Amino acid sequence: MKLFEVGIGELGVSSDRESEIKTYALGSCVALVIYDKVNRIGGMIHIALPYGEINKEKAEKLPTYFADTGLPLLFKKMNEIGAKRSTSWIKLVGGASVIKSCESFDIGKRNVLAVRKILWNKKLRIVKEDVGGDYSRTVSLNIGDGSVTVSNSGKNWKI
Amino acid sequence: MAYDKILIVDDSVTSRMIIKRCFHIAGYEKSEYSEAEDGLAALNFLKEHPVDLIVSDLNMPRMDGATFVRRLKMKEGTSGIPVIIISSMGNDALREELKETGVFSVLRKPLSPDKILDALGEGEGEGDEF
Repeated sequence: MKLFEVGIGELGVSSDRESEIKTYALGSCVALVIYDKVNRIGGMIHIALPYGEINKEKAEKLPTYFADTGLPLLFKKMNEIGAKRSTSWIKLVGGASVIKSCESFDIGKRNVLAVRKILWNKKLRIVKEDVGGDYSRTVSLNIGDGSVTVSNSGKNWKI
Repeated sequence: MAYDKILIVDDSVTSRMIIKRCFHIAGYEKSEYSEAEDGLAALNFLKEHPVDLIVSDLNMPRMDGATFVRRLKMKEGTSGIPVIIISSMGNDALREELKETGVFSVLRKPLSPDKILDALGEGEGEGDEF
C-alpha cells in the first residue's frame, strides 16, 4: 500500500487503488476528504485557516493553506484525474478547539464554518463530519474502498 | 447525488404533500419519504432512522426550523445531513445564520420542482465537474 502524506496547507489526490492518503495532527485545522465511489478517486486537503485575506502573501505562495483559496484547487485536481461530482461524497474532519482560553478566536470553528459556506455556495454536501471537540485528529482515506479512518491517542474509528 | 431517504418537516399536512409532490416531479419519485410535524418530532425520528436529506419549514410549533437545524448540526450523528429550508420569510440575517450553520439551501415559498433541482445542484447546465 502506497502512502501519500498531506502536510499542513497541502493537498493530495490519487486514483491508485493500492494507495492511502493521510494527514496528521489536525488540531484546529480541517481536513476535507473527497471520494468518487464509482471511479475510486480520492483527495484530501489540510486547511489551516479560513480565508486567504488573513495573510495575502502566504495565500499567494501556499493557497492550499486557506479554505477559500485551497478548495478550488482540490476540486480542479479532482476534475483533472477524472472524478465526477455526481458520484462523489465529501467528509469533514478536525476543527477542534485546542486552546480553551481563546474561545472568541476559535479557529477550529471558523475553519469548519468557512468550509461549509464554500461548499454550500457550490451546492456540494457533506455526508459526514467528525469535527469540534478539544482533541487532535489524524485522518486517512483508503482509495481502494473509500474508507475513512480517524485516530487520536491510539484509538481508531471509521466515519 | 442520490437522496434515497428524505425527511419532510412541516406542521401542515398540505405543505408536506406539496413538498413531496415537487420532489416527485423533480425526479425523486423513488426516494423513501418520512414526515414529522415539527423539529422535536424530527429529532426523535432521527434517533432511530438515518436519512440522506431533510426538508424543513421554519415556522412550526414546539420547535421551529432554526432551532431544529442548530440542534441537528450539534449532534455527531446528524451534523452531516444536508438540510433544505423552505420559508416564506425574507429575513436576510436568519438566512445568513442558517447558511453558516451548514444549511444546504434556503428556498422561498412557493416551492417548485425547479427550485429543488437548482438547490440540489442538478439543474440544467450543471456539469459533472466540481
